[in-house]
Amino acid sequence: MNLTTQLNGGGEMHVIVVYDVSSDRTHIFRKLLRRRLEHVQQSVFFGELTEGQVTSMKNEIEEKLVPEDSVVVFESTSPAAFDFTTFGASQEPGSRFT
Amino acid sequence: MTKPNHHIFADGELSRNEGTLRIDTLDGETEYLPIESIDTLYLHGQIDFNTRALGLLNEHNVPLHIFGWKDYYRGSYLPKRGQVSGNTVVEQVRAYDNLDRRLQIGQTIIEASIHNMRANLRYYNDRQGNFSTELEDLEELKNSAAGTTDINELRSVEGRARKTYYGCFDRILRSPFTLTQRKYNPPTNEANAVISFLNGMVYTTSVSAIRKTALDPTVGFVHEPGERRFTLSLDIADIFKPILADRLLFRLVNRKQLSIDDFEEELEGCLLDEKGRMTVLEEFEETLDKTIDHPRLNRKVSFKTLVQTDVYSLKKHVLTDEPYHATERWW
Repeated sequence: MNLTTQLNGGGEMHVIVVYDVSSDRTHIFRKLLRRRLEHVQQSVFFGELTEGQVTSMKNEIEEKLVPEDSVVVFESTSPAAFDFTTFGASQEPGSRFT
Repeated sequence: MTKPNHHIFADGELSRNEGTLRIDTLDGETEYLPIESIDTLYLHGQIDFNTRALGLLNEHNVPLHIFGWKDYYRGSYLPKRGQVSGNTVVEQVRAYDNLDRRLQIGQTIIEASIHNMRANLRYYNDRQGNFSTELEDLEELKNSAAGTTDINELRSVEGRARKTYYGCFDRILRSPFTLTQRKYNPPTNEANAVISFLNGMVYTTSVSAIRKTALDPTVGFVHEPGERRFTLSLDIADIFKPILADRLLFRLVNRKQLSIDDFEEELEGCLLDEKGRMTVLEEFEETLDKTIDHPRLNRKVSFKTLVQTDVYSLKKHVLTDEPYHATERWW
């Protein structure tokens, strides 16, 4: 299966979100991100979102933030320039099958 | 942009957890689905779920289609209507009840359907055989659809067109795949099995698209309401079967992506096994994502969006009498 085409079809923005927060606060961001993105690893999320979804996600992150928290949102509007390689036990992101 | 669909093949349990969907498979794995990034959810395995899971689908307007054994399509759980407009339903029923308007919409649908069948034959003409007689017959049938005076006559034109069209499949399909006769419930051979499965997918794609409008899925124009299925979805599916299903079948078979091993024999039937279904679905999803330039909209649209715009066009026609553009392959 050609994964690149598959990914391109769905969306406008590829997004990677990572967070580094105290362990008693991880559930807050996990919950917020899981609704929109794929949970790739512990504190790493990936997916395709519309601009509107990205904006509302950022707003929600901001609301939940305390000064010690750190969250980074990477985004790319040109899906063609986006590629990835998975190693080890990682599942290919973007699969539509479970 | 349209969101992607998600298919669950695993057996297990579907539940609501932390505001999103959680799947616990029998293999002991847990996965979370981003509920806000899913268009439609398909269940292919044996899944338990509860009302809380359905409530979540409801909140996020995600339709659920269930595929099982035999003729594949089992049923749908549709979220409460996001779009409600009494006006649209009234106008839709009026259009259905007015013999002239109903016939006119029906003719547009059947003409588009025959056009799309012809487009497939034209593509394979001289590639896999000579279809010039059938192409002419279909052209004639398409013209006679425009001249029909009642819906039964129109349906018989449609029936003849489909028979002519299916009659060509045998020559397009690489052996050992054959289609001497279209049979379903359950499908009797491999080609029939793929057609049934894909037609089910086209049907559910139409159901999802209609759900995004205020149109009532049970009131169709070519098909008679009261056939227990969503008859409007059957109408829309007829337009898209040649584009989304049949062409894919030819490709899968002729490029040997599917083999006879991908099927299992059942009592008097033949069905795709799990691996075969996965192969077909991966390609079907890719087909939905494929984009083409849309001359009227003046932008690129995916095939999935094309189904949606077709439904929007029908809705607009019903409401304002603007011409209905049933999708005829132009590319």
